[in-house]
Amino acid sequence: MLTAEQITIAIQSFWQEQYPFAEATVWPGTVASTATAARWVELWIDAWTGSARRRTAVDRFEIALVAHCFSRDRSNPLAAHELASAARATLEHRTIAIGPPDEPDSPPIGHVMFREAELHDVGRRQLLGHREPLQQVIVALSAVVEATAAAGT
Amino acid sequence: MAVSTLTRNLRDGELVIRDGSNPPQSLTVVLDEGDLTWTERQRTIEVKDRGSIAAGHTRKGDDESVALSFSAKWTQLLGKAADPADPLQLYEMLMFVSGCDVVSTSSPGEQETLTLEFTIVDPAGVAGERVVFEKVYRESLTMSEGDDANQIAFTGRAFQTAPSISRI
Repeated sequence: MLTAEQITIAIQSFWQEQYPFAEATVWPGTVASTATAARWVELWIDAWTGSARRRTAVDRFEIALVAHCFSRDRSNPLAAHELASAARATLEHRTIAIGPPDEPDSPPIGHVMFREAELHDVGRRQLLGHREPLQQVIVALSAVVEATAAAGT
Repeated sequence: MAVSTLTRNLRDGELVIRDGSNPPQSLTVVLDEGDLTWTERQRTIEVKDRGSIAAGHTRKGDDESVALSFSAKWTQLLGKAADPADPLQLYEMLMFVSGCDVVSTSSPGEQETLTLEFTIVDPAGVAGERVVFEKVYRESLTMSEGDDANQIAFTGRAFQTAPSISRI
């Protein structure tokens, strides 16, 4: 059975390697001060949903991943959109291998297969009045996580 | 009493396909949709007396083979047929693709058939059952694309009037 840690590690490692603004990522569970940050991205795996399947079937379920892209960059009002577009390009239609723990050279024990992304601009600059405008764009993706089958289908 | 009154559902089933090799090659369908369906039909000859059922009678009709179907998510179509070191895949087994050495369970010259074995585990662990369909031949195999997964849908018949059911 695939574990949450294995899947999270696989996705976060891929993101770290492929996302062009990886240094701006605030990882879940970490404490970061965003008071002075010009931009940052929060990457969350929000939901894990299994569908009806046989007990003997390979492990298979859906996850929902959300990247919250924030920016306070006054000089670039579309900075959050840049972060969001890069997030979409990084994950959409990508297949990420899940490696066995502590055995990097072994064959994958499963894969995460991302589908199409959905972007929502939830920035509300006009409501912030005199404060720093905060742009926020949400990138939502669903993915199928499937364990590697031993044989056949 | 080794009987459980718990309802069974698709989670409790497992479908295995075997060929006629000795020992048989077998393939567990690990991505099937849990929609195995079979129908045992009975034919009856109605003999009416001048059109009247009340005065008529019935006789047993011809035997009817068992109709069955199932579908599965599709991964690789060819495995062993493309490389003998690769595991056998559902499509090539059902299609008796050359190179995968799938042997019919019927005699040479007859239609190519397989054995389907459906096991239903009792969730209470008391009385599981095994349903065996012998001499299953293919009527159609439909491959279709889908958003969640591509599918292989099998329809065929078992050349017997009813599958054999046993307790395991």
